[in-house]
Amino acid sequence: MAMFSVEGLDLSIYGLPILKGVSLSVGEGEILGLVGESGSGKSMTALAAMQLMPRGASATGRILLDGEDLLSKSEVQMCALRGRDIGMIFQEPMTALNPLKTIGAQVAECFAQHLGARRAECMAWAGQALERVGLPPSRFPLDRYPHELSGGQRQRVVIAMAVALKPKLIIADEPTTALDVTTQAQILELMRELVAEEGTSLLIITHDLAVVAEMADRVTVMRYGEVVEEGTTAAFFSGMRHPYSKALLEASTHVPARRKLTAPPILPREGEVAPHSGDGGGDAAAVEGTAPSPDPTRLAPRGASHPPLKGRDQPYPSPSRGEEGPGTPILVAQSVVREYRGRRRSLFSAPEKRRAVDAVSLAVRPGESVGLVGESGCGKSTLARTLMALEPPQGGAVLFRGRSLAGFSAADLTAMRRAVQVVFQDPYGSFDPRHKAGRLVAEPLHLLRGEIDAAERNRRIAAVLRDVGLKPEDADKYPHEFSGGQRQRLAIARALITRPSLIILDEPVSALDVSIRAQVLDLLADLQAEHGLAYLFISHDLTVVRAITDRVLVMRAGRIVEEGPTAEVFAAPRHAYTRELLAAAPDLSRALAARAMRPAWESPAAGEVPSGG
Amino acid sequence: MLVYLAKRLASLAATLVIASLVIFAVMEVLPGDPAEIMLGTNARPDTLAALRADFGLDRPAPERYAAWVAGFVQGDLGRSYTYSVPVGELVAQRLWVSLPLAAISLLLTVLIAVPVGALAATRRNGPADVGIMAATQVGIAVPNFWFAMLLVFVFAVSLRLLPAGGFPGWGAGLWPAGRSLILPAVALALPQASILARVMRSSLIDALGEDYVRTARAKGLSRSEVVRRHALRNALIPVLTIMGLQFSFLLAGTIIIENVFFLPGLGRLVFQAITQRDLIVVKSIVMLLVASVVIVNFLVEVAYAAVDPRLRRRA
Repeated sequence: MAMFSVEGLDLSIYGLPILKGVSLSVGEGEILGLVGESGSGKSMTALAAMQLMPRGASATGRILLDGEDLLSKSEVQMCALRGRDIGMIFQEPMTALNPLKTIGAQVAECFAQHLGARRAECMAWAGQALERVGLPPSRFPLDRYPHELSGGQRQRVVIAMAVALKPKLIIADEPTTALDVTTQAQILELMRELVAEEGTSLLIITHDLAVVAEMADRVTVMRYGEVVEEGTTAAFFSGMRHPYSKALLEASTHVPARRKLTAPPILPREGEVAPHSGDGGGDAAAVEGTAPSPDPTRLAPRGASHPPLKGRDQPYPSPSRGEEGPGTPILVAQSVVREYRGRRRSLFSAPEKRRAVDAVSLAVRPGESVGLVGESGCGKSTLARTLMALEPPQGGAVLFRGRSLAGFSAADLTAMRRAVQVVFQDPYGSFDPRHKAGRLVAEPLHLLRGEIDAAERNRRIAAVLRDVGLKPEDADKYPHEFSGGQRQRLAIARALITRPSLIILDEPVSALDVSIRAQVLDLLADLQAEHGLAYLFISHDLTVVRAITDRVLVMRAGRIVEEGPTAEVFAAPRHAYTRELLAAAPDLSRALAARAMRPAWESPAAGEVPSGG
Repeated sequence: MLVYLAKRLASLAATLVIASLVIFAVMEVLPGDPAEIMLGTNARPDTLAALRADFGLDRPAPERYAAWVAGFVQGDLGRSYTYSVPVGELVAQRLWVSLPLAAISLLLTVLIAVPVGALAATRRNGPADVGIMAATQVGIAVPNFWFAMLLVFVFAVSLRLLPAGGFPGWGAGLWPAGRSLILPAVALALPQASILARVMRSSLIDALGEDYVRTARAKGLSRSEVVRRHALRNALIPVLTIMGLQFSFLLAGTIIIENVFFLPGLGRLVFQAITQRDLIVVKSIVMLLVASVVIVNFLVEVAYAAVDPRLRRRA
């Protein structure tokens, strides 16, 4: 019998239907992967199970935990049940803990709440619970505060709370999405161990098919508040039936088709209409397709489509192996050092120095795509700020077209900023919500110092919007009227408007769903081919870097530990850290291969016939 | 923690030094010679000079500044030009009215604002919230002296429960003296409590939207337990900031309120001293007010560290 099951769950918020007849079940000791993109209703399903739905939500149907219907329980009954019978792990470990309470007190609260034990006793149990998740009190005293722990350690604290009372069911909502790959691997391993030890059922919600392939016994796929497919993991991956599942799989392993430049890039001169903006005829036809389409393979139709490629017949066969791009490098870092003042140990000692970037050298040539990978805190973004001349280096030099930034006049810097633009991770955060898209996109035009008139300005806004697959009319919309993927397109349009030769992309797709991510990567590949752009692609996501770069640099603790052509580095990593990163990154094909090796009895539901969607 | 406190103390000292310089300089440039005002425009020049010498007004400015600061630190505030008594004594008497008044108002402000704001936040958009928001809107819009008159009308004139004004002195006993401070304190507190209640409400609403609140709910805490154990303390940080700022408003408010209620406090003293060009009194009281505001803000920052562990890093 299923330990936990959802039967025909309908949920609406203020009358707006969110979930439509959702059914799923998790057997005892089983791991169910609930997959879908943002807005598919997977988190809402979890919140409905916890009866922690947002205001105005009403649910009908049945949610059974060990035979009892949770929907019919009162709030008081649910309080007794939450944390005791269902434990929950959340996505954002950085904010999931109360910053003002010690980790010991927060874990102890679980015991105090449900067992009514004395404080000292609860604290002792909290110590044991933290020890189980790899935070022994000898090294992580109970009086530590959350801000003294890393993201992975905080997630362990959250897991300690979720498993503290040995619940029947654990719901993990994107438990590793916010974590680095190596930390992600550790957390997944920990969850697998805990579930195996206690025989707990686990509902793991994720958008990442690789995580599902590694963890889950069975898979349920959701889209638009409905379950579209379900089955055992092995059957699911070997014989996906629903087109949406296939599209999802395609998107998560998507490699954009990249064309090699046929000629050295020629940047359009000021005053000319850029050749790519054309008359917009073909592009306009392409963007007509932004309305939701009945085609079931289409992913997330609320996002924009991108213009079709005209030159796809010249695929980019393999990244340029070791050979250098044409022309002098646009941007060069020579042994760049960035130091921060740390905090003082005592009132009178000098503050210690922290080296965020330690003698890093790199070069980006015209038309080239360079990846910079590393985990959070390794100094990637600090390096990027220095390359953009936002902060001066404490050692070494940054050269723009062969000249050191150190001797740049204000006019030189303006010229440099025209040529080097940037796109950040969080498109929403980098837009003023009170400005319209047109004004936001046109922002960098001040770098042209009034060289263009209003008509040309509007022409350029329309051209870049078309370039990124939006409509010129979108210039009159506000940022909140765009979806996440469209906002990232806007950010790219903003970077394009000065017709730069290099765009620094700082985690440009990390906040996006897989299908939107695939579209944005395609867009970036197209733009590169059309405009001869160079990219410096900063990311912690190896799959993405592998898909879009020619050369890659691996950064760790402020240093470049390995660099080379992307394909070579990924195929035969020389440095131990690179190997570690590659091993930790969830990889779909590897996970499936490992799954095939596993004996059938390890997967309790392996014999079941998938019921399909 | 020690480093944090040392930094705050250093900034407190620097603020006081700068404030004393500014106050002294402003008093220097202000027109109006106290000796002339005391003796009238027809005074003979030699009498004026003698009086100036008596006050020490003939010495160079840096010397007078040094003497003023040195005296201030030792508790010697100089002699009042008009009352001809030591300013220290004058201020001390008045302080015993104004300080309790400000303290009671601040206490009332917090006692009203925190529960009311918390109630509004937990009943967001409900009738209680709407009522509280409307009431605090009125509380902010209406000036405190109008409240003062209203309170006098209701509690002193109609109900005859509390005195309409005046102060019998603490010598008359704790209750007779204390009850004459009740209406002024309420009049001072109401507008401030209205502001603070709104801050409390929005701060608690923000805190209740945080992820850790959801985590706590997932642990099995009820809504009210989450508010008490997790959200409230997090919500207090912005409230503390505003409280620190409000203290100076309360002090400034005493000037009006003490005049409305005929209380012999610092506020009335400074008001009289300004009209009578008793600069030494003005200077000393303003410096005292500045010092108390700065010290209260220092205490607020100490309170931050007590509430928020992120500020008291381990050394």
